[in-house]
Amino acid sequence: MLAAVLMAAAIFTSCRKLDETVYSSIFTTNYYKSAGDAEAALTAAYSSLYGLYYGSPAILSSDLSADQAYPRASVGRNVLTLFSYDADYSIQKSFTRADAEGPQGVWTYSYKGIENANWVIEKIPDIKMDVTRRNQIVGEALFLRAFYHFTLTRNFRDIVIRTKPSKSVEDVAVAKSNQADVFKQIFKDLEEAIPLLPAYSVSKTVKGRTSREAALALYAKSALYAGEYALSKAKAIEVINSPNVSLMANVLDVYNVDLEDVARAENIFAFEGESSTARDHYTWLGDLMGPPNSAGRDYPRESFGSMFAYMTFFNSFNPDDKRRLLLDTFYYNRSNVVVPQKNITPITTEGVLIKKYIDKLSNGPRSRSNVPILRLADVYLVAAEAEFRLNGTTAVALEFINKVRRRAFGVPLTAASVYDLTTLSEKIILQERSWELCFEGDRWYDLTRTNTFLTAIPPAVNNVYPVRTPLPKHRYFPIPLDEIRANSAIIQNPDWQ
Amino acid sequence: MQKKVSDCRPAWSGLRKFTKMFLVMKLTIVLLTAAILNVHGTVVSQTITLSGKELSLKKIFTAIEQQTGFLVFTSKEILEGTKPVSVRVSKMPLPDFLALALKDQPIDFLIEDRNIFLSRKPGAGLQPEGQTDNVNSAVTLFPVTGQVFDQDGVPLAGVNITVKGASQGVITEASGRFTFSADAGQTLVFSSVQFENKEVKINSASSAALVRSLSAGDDRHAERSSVASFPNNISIYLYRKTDRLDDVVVVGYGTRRKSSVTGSVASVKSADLKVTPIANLAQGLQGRVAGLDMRQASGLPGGNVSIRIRGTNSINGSSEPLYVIDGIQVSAGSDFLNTASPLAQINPSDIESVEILKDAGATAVYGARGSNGVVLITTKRGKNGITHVTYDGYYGQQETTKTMDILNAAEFARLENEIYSPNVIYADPAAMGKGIDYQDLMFRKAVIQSHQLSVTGGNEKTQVALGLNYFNQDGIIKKSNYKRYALRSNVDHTISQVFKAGASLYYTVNAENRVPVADEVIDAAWDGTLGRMIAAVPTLKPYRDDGSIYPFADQFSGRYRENRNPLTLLENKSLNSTYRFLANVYLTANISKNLSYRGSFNADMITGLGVSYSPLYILDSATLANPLAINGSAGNSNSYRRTLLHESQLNYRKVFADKHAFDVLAVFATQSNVGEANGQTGRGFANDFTENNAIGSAISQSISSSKSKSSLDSYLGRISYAYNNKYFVDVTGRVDGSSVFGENRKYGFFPAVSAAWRVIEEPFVRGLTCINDLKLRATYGITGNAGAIGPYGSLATVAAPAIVQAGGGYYYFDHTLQQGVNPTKIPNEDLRWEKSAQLDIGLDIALFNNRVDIVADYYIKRTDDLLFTKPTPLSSGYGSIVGNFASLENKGLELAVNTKIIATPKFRWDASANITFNKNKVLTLDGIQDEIALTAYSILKKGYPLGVYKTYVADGINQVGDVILPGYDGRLGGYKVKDINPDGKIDKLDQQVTGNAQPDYFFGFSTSVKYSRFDAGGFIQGVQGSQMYNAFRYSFETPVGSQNVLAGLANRWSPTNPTNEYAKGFQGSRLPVTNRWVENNSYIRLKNVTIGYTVTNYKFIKSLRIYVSGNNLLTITDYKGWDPESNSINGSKSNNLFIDNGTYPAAKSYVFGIQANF
Repeated sequence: MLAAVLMAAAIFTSCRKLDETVYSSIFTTNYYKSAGDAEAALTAAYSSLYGLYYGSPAILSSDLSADQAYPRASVGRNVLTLFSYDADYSIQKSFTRADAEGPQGVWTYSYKGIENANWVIEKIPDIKMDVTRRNQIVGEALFLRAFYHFTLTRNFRDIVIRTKPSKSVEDVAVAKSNQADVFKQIFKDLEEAIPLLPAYSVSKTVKGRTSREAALALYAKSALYAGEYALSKAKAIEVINSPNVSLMANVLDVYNVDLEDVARAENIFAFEGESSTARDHYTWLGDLMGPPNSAGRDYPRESFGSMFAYMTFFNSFNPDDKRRLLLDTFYYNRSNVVVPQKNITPITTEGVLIKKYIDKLSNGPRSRSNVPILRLADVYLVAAEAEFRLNGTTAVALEFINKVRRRAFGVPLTAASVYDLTTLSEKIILQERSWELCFEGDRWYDLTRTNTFLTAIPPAVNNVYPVRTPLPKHRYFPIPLDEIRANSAIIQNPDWQ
Repeated sequence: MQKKVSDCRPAWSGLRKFTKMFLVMKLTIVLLTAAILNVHGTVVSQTITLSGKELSLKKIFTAIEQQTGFLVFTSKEILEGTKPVSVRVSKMPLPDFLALALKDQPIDFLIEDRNIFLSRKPGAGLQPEGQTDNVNSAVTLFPVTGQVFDQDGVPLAGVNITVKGASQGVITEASGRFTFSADAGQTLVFSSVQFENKEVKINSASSAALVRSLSAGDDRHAERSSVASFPNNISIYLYRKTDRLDDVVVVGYGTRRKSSVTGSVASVKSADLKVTPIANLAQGLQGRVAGLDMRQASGLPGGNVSIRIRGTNSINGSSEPLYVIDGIQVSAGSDFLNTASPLAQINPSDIESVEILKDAGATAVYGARGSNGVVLITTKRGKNGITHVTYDGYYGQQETTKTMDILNAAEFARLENEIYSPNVIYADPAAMGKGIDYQDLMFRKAVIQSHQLSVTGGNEKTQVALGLNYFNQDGIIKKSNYKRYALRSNVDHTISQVFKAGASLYYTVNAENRVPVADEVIDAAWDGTLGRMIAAVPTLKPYRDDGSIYPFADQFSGRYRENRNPLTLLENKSLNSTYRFLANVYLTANISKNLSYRGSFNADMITGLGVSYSPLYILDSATLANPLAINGSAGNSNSYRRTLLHESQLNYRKVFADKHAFDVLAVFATQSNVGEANGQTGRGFANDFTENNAIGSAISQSISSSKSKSSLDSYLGRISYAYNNKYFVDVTGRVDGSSVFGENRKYGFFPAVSAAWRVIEEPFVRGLTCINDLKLRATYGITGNAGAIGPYGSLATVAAPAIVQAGGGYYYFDHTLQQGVNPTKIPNEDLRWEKSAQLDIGLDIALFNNRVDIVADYYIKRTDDLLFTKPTPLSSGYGSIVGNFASLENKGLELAVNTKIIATPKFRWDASANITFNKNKVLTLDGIQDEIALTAYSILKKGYPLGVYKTYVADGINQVGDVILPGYDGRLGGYKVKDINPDGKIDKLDQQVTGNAQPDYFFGFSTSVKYSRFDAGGFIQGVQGSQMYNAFRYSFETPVGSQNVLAGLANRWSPTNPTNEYAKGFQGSRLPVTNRWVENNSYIRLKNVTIGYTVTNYKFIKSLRIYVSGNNLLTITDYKGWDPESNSINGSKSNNLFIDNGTYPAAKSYVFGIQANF
């Protein structure tokens, strides 16, 4: 009887709340409370850089499409070179490389970075902590949000602007905005970020973090893309005039992995490559660009021979240009025997090796090479172009571009030299940018923002890719079909509909 | 930190639909209880109050059943010739009453548990027709000696032996032996409560006896049997009564007579499991139960198995059934610990029976966890009577069933020269000769052994069972090994007429030594041990001259540094141990004659320890010399999980008006799960001495820990009604409330109704004498699957992801790792169980004196609210959200036939077969798309089965002059892809559905023959009509250079050999994923052949069976991989797909075993 009563009582009264007690997990509702939370949340916002520069979608989307480099045709890398991709990136997907190497990766990682930055921007201002640092954190997140939006818009043009975190399933579908509005949002974020960010300092800025100068550099570059030349020039000059930045005397030192901390004087913002085995954090570019089968003595310990420079690009350099030393037409194998150009790769007898991302002491695939994102030389060239577009070939414009040239030819930066340019045109400026910024994920966007890619690409051919004919729609990549399918509010950009 | 998830109101508000009904149900139970208690006051022991004149015994027994709730097991035959009695008793204790009522009757009784067994008194046997009673006053008596056995040859003690018609007799000794005086022409009757009686007519010196079963309506054992010599040393075999329809079948929260079961329940008894040596229970069940699709995905010792009852019911959730071991609910999959299936951890020799609950009628009592089916495992318990000591052991040898043909060193060298042309890698390929085949170095003949000792016994009050097991299986790949130590103890004690208590305690230690296996990603085959064996460079040396392992990077100028000497895999330590304690303690109380209570407290506690170490001595010199490398890595991980479950159940049984039998059950259960884990890893050791035991000395260390908790409250009611043993109806309802469900969906309700009609009881069937039983069953019900929802699954977690591809996490600042933390998912307040609605229609038939049993079931099962990982817009920052979106359907037909072709004590021949047809179909996906890509080779598609392959279509090889279409990296001499939509390029639109991993049907067939002391058995199992992606062959038909490939590549394409079979070598290229590697993996497999010999009564041994057994002897299949059963997708993880990247291959084994009873 007792049991029956007890049981009846249990049935009638027990409607337990069934709360979930959490121990080792944390929830958004009770996170973002301390200075430590703020730092960790910000770190997550940076971490998309690894996704962008490891494989690396941010570099390959540009450089395999453009006229400097080409891939060995495997795992679908050649779809970019041949302009044979579809909106689903299905070939790259069939080799599981869509996120790791292609435009879809740019989309995915940039938006993940934006989401993480949005949480920082929304939550961190309420945290009770050191106010100076708190402001910097918000400034860094604003910079990152602007950077990711910039990365997206130069790849896809009209994109989704996201300034609020996704808190429920109702928040996930947002329509896209046109590119002009995207740039407005970028400028707005950067204007808010600049006063919050500390001035750059090679010795004091925490390596890997952004700074006021980096934000200004991004501002200058995105304004150039937006056609806001006065704004672009002003911001670029602010960077150039900063006492904390300077060009490396020897252009090769920018890419010398042993000098990477010194090179931060020029390399204002970069992806941080590390060889630690604790957590992978390296770029694969050195592995892709080295000789096949890890055969090179002077190359990373692991290299695949997957990406080479066009011989036409090699030949475009003035032989005195030290930047050509970042390319090579032979290499020493591990038995110290020279491997001639015809034997570099079986796919062509005109293989040209790219040497920008070499860490001879790489730990297996893990190399320490940083990947430049915002570099002072780039800012000089942005300043030159902005001035040129505002006022034509002026002494000011020439001085900006010639600084970069003099450094490349190893002559004093401040004195005029025989290598100086005396006249400017869009083509000349873009050519200079091509030599200076090759394999840094920039060239394709120069050709598309100026809409010159239709004429620039067809001559960039070789026996591996004898014909390359992009169509107008290839100016911007299609928004990944995975986004279109899941987002009820978005429509594909018109060229790809 | 607590998140308030709900309060009572919202939780109940979602339940309005059924609350009312549920309350009525509960109320009914309570009122009924109260009413009964009122009528009978405080009477709690079993007494009888009865008055009447000339009452038939049948009436008497009905009264007993009504007043005490005890079941009386009787039959027409037993009651034959009994006299009506007149009684007038009040509150007379049941045993006294029975003694009174049966005083002058030819019937004995035995009260056991809550059952009353009746048997004919010795000497009160029936006279078979045409026989005369042979009691003769002038007989000459001779001593008759002999021995009595059960059907398995185990000697029986305590068997009554009388001369028919006489009252005096003898009882067999512990050895089953007896000596008796009888005369020719007399009939001896052998009787024992749990066995069917047997009569033996002594036919004088003709040395033959007529053996006749006493149950006239069930005379399947009636046959002639010769007796070795008269009058001495006759052997008598008695059959257990459990072969009959009165068999007790374990169902959820109780037991049933087989005849009254309304749901679809399959039962496998220990006798079936015992015949062949099996490493784990899964092997014992494979192919023996219709509707149960089980495949040994990996031959890894202790490896996991995947079980699907009636098809795959889930897409992203688990499709593994719920396991209930002696009432302890043990979940598989989504575990805190990555343990093997519970089936691998239970020692098969400890098992009394396994019941597979298949339809909703049977599983609804398990509510939110019932929809994948339930496996009830009951372990052996002690019995009242003599003590049994048994030893069961075997020892055998295993070997691989297959090795792959690969290129020899000379062929490999030629391929290398071709791939790297114009470079010449090998100046003289022919000089390389045969080279090394690492399969020869890494496979072995491996030992398997098991030793089991058990003791059972007890008296009327206390029964005990003890079991000890040691199992040790070496893997056929060197180093791999699995050990199990198990201790089991079951105790039952009757405290008083009211109370009984008992416990089941089970402790197992499992230790696994693993070798790496490849995961399920295409092109990952190289990472597994099998892949490494094939990929290894045959031109290099495995060992240095000093016998140490020679890393490939240190040979041939480091040319093959990216390959790996597979022998180094065997040097890595990877040991996982699991310590599992399962405990069930119960108390039952017979509150009144109709009402009983059972309370149980269960605990399942698992501690896991994983250790790993990768030594320095297997590294190459360049790696060791690299100042940046941090070499030597070690890891320890500890995990702990505790599940506590309390169940209180009330049971009310009563028969009204002799015809209306009610059995009402109400259960309250509350469960909590706690999981904790922590781990340390370290890299960078100066030497190998301390291995993983001093991780503090590593240069780089990392630690982790986690804890989670969940709880589940359940309320269950079941009303069973039987009319006249002919019509049966069960109505079940269960409410499950789980903390892991979303805020708005904490409680779920799972109802079922089932009915059975024993057509055999109808007069119009009675005339058909060949039919012994005929029953129609139908059930419909809704069950749930919550197995895949882990704690906090509905909440928005933030975490530090380990892998950047998952969406970020960490970054390096100042060259130092900074751990980032970011939101990892979007919350889902509606996250809930998957809901299955299942209809089952079944038919049970017994024919030809019960020699043929047929069970047929048709089912249709629709699962909605499937847990589904739905893609979210990537711009949201998340790839997917887990929610309840999709629907699918399984329908099928099951047929099981058991026959006893010959059944004499001396010669028995049994055969069983079952076959299952299952069709699986996706009904809806996320509501937006009709097709979703799962992997590079598979999709989910509305209207198609789960897990169809979608690939390009192979079209031979690009020959000279062919136009090579853009889009798939095609090249001359490489595989060609068909341009399905002829648009001149290869893209997604050229992919087609090229296969389906779901079989059309699967079957099992087993047979056993027993003649005198010999026995033999065989078992065949098969799966037909399914395909598998053979990614292993894909990888090793890819001539990319620096890695060896399959032997077929020797005949690869060249301008002069325009084959369409094997592609030309090409540096670093990958092949297009085509249907070339979608293979038919249908198979028929001779799983086991066993031959045994039994001797009885040798010295102190009651019986001894020795046997030899061969497992996996023969497989008929077109599949070209290692094993058609293999699947690289972990069983609990995958529901639908099969891909073979080279799992651990199944072994063929030969075993010698002993089963002894002392």
